[in-house]
Amino acid sequence: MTGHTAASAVAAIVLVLGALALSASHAIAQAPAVSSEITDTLKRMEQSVSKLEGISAEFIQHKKLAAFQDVVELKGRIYMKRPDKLAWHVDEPIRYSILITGQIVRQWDEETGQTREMAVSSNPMLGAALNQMTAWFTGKYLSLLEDYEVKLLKRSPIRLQFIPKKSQGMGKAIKSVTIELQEDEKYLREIVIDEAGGDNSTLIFTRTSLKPPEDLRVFEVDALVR
Amino acid sequence: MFDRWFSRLYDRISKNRKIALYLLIFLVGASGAGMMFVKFNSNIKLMIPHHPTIVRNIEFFRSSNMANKVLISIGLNDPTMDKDDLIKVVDSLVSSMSPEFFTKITSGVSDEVIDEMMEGQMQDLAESFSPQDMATVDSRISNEYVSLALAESYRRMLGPGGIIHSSMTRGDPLGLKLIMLKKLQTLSTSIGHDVKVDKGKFFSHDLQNIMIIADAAVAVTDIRGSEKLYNHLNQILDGLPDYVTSSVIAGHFHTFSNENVIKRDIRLTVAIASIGFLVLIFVIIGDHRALLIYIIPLAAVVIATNISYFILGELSYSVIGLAAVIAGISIDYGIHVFIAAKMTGDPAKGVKLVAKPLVIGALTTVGVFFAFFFSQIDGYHQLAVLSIISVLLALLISMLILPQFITPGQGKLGLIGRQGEEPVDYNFSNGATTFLWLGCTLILLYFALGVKLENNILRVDGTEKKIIDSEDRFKDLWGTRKRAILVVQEDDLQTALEVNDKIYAEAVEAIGAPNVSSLAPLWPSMKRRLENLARWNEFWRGGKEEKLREILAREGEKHKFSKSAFDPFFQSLTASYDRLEVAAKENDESIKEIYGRFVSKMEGGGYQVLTFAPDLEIHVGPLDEISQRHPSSFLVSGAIMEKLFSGAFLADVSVLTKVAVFLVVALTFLFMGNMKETLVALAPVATSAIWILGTLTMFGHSMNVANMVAYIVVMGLCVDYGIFMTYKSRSGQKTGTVLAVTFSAISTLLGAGVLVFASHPALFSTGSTMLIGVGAGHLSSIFAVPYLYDLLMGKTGHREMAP
Repeated sequence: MTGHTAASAVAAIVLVLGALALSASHAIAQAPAVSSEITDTLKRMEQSVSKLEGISAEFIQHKKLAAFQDVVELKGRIYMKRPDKLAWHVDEPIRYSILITGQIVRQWDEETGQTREMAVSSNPMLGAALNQMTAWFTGKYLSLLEDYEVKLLKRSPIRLQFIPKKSQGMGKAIKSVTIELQEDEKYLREIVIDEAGGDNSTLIFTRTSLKPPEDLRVFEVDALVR
Repeated sequence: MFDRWFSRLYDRISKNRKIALYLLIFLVGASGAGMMFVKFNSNIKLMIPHHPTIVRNIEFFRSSNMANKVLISIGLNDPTMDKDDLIKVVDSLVSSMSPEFFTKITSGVSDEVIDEMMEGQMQDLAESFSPQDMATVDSRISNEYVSLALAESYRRMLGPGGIIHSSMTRGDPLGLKLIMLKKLQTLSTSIGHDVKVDKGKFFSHDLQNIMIIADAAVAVTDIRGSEKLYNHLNQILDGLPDYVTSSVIAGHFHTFSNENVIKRDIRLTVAIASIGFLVLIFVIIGDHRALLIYIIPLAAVVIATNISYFILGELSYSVIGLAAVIAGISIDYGIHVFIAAKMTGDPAKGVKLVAKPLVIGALTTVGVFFAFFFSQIDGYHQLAVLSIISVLLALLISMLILPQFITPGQGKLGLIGRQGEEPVDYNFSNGATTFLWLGCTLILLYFALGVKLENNILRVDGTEKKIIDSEDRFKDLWGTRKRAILVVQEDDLQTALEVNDKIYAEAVEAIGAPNVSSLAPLWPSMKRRLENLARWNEFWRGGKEEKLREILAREGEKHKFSKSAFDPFFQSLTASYDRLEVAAKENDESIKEIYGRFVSKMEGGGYQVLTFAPDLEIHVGPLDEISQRHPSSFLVSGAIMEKLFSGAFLADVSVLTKVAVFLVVALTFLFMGNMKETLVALAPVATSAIWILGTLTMFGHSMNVANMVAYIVVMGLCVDYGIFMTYKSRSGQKTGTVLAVTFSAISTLLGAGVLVFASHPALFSTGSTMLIGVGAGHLSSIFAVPYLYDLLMGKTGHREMAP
């Protein structure tokens, strides 16, 4: 990894998290009314996911970025096991993984073959970014009400749109995050992120198992290096 | 001749004793009223040595308000609470901090500067990039670098942070803004603590603590204001929820705490001394008129203060405090006169018998205080004037007024004599006592030779332990480091910034860029920014832009980037060209907070620009050399200042001690007229010095400034004891010299020796020096001096002292 790209990662996180911080603080200050239907829906979703011991799923992500010639399709897997394990593996077109265990984060990519480990506390910016990520994947939806305004787009299956509350901060980078639940409302089926600059990313979950993975090596770095 | 002259004067006053008394009462009354008009100066400059660096450093701290900073750390102690809870507590605390005590309160910085830098155009880069930065840019315009950077960007854009990476890569594929960001990060090291800015707050690394930095409206030297600030801050900190703890660093707490400890000590020692004096006057001396003896020094100090103020035009508070203690010496004259009057049964006869040794004693004491004129400290000159006048006034009142009001006829001396009996004129000195004195002195001399000087003057800081503990907790938590500051002062801002630019370049070369926190690499002077801008334009328009376009197109293709992927970068680059002017930065609102930490307007006009670096020996040496190369700059270093301050103080007190010793020896020789008697008279002075140094060393203490100043006072007392006892041995007169010397010593120990019960280190040091020194001087004068006199002089009968 080059020096400047490592630093750019930090800067990126600084920006995202700065935005998150701003939107969160404004949310607390203003606390707009949220319709009871949405609150009930989020509560139901959160309760439903909170009962799960873990999740294993495959995903396909389509990234439509102005910087790229074509839409890029990524394939990978996501695993979650309570209380504190989350693994995000991308298998195609490149291989990289993010593994979170409690307060420890490990990032690995095949091209460099390097694993970087850090404590969430040592990098508050990264910690906050991962908190957002885990909030989406582990069903802490109610906490997102602080940062976003929520619209119910469809009732069956449930499709919700989260719009960052302020034009500043998160709103500078993200226009909206839309999620769609599976028919049984037990987990996510799709996440669509529309960026302010026109870029767009769609994440579709397939083969979702509402159980933790049997092979716990998916949460370990050693298993990746093979 | 002296006796005749004094006798005539005394008799004349006796004839007009009422007039003399009324005159004295009038003088004391008028002086008491005059005290209301005496202006006391609390400026610390009066009490520091004349050292240009010290004076400039103190002036810098005073004018820059740095000493008035109050740092507060609020931390979570409950794992169920999170940083948002902490932020709420901090915001609530900040809102409750009264503007009466705090002018400016900061608990973080906004991310606005970083946002602007990362999202903004290229103009800041164009104006700030140095030749070294441009060399870095040049090295990045290569196939290899671009290929690696784009591969990395590609990976990152596919990851969870892809949203941000996409716009960053498109706007800045070479990561040029991150060079600026790095420079910005070095600015945060200027505050000397490890902070992480999160949610706009100064967080500790573990996100469990937030730091608040406040500018106090109260000067750190303002004792009453510091007390109010201490109480206000403690009151609001006590009201914080149970799930947080706090720690504070504030110079005001030291001021208040020292005052608190001193007050407590004085209450205790005054209580002990009062009981002691009452016992001494009413039980041991057994005569309420002895109270007059104790009023004389007070009257002398009140009159002397007015006269000194008239001569000097100002007086330091500290000087008044010290002078009151030193004037206590003058109590001796009253004691000698009182006892001589009692012993002879005729006050006039008594005073005439002791007048000569009293005058000699007083003149040697004046000689001791005269030594203070050799000090580099203005306050000590004031001290010399005040003390000398006090001593002379006390001597005159004791010799000319006091005896007029002592009833003639021999009387009992409390527990010492019996009613109707002639008081005994004691003699405790013989071969055995002298041998014992010599033995003890030789043993202590052995220890005294190993005495160590305390170089750190701050060791006499008596701040309470709870405050020191709180500061230690704060420092551990925040990795607090001392910062040295290179200060540039010029009449106009741009000139100051230009000097700052040069200083920065030299400092980077001397101690490395990561150690230097300066505005220069980010926002240099306008002149430098115009130079940078011209270089930037020349660089890109000289073919580098075209070259980069080609490389990005070629390497971007390989990494599947679109043809328009880097349009935002080139649009921004083009916009940075063709500007002939640069905007002034001091009025830029987005950077005002950071800029203000480095640039400020001075009180008397002009500007001051600061550069920060670690206050370590390896760094301050080269930085000092740099400052000497630039006449408008100087280095402010706590480490250097501590050394200079301690060194200058010790050197000053050392000179004083030497001059005082010389004057005492010379004056004693002058008055005694021969070497042998001079040696005998100085035995108590030498004994006190050896015993003080030996005892301190034996108990593991080093000699500090308070010990040394107290010793000068001890010298003044002990030379009196030596002269009185030598004179007694020579004249053989029964004037109760042993009793008088003993009462003098007891009085001094009650007044100043009781300070050994004090917990403040400066007071304790003073008390222990007085206790050991006066004790040693007294014991040697009554147990050794008479025998030594007989041994050296032989019992040759009574002789006259030199005129």
